[in-house]
Amino acid sequence: MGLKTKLAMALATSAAGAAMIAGGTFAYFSSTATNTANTFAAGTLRLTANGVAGSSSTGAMDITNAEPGTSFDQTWTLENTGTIDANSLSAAVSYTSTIPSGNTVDFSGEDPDFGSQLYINKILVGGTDVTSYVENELHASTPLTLEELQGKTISFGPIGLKAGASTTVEIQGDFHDTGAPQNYYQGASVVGQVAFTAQQ
Amino acid sequence: MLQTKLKLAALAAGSIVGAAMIVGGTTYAMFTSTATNTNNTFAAGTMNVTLTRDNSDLVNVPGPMFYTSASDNTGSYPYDKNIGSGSGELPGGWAPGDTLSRYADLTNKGSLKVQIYKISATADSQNVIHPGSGSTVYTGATSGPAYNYFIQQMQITITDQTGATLYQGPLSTLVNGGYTLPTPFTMAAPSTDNLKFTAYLKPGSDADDNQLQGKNFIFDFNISARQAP
Repeated sequence: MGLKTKLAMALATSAAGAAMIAGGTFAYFSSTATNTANTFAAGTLRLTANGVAGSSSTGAMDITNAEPGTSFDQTWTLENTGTIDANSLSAAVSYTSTIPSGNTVDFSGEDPDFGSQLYINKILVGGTDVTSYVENELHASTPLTLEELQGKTISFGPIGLKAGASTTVEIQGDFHDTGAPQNYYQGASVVGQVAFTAQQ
Repeated sequence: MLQTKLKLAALAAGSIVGAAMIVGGTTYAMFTSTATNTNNTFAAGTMNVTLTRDNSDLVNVPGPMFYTSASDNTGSYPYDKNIGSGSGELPGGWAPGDTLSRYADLTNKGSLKVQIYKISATADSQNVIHPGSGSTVYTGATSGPAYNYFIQQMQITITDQTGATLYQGPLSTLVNGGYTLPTPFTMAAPSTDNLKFTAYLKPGSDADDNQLQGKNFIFDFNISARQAP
């Protein structure tokens, strides 16, 4: 009798032990705390020039029949239609100069780029004169010529454009009368674009 | 000789019992008695942990830690009256370089002490504000190049109320499989730990960053607890 009882208990214990060794998964309690729907909405920075989205100017300067001494004054309107303030503005200028093939130079070494004759006397952003800033930035002469802007991106300094705000970029200049013959440039033209960029 | 016999007897007894065990199912008609101990109770404890926003608001307002103005249930902006510019949203929206810190209470509301062992995040495709008429639905990207770039650039730092860092790294790790704490910590029942979540959108190249413009990214933050050893 004693023997039987002892054996019975021993069997029971080993059975339990076997289950513990054999079992791979254990049903532990667990709980997960969740904070839901955290929303990160990215803002936008959108620039329009003269009311057209993108960065190319369409209020293009269109001067015809100019002669040495003719001045020009062109203004573009920029608007930040996004939600993020822009901290800086810049402009990239590129153009093509054409001189009629029959033209002859007035003197040896005359510049074949008509842009060399177009002087930019003043650049204003939102009414602020940034001419010296741009000249220093480009290590350019005073006054600045369009040729010196060719293919360059110029920053206007610490002038930004808040979300929803608009500003103007104005250039004043002339087809400069150098005092020397400029017949080489009769019928010449420059056609180009200004690409404005706003940066956060 | 006597010894041998005893030995043999003992051995025999062993083998008989052994044989009986192998065969199994033999019953003996012997005296028995049963003693019963009643009303043994095994009551399971409970595990319940919650993660609720808590920026020391004057009013305890539920909802996500990071939110947009449309999700302000009380209609006041920003509705964390104690926090000025550190509210859960950024006017104008997130832009590369922005950083924002928010707080949430991790609370053990159950009866059992728990071990916090994992942090993860889940991307949501939608956040419906004020369900029903007049609701605003934010649609979140949950895949694609802009999403992949966002979760790689968005850096998350989570610290507990002692200032110890629980996690510091990109959101992508939390979303893709989660992060198992190298040193899980125990929370008594009941207890609360005020966690600080800092989100920082690391800037990259202009071209890469610009793909994020105007997009929404919505996440659940999950903290996993299990039985404490």
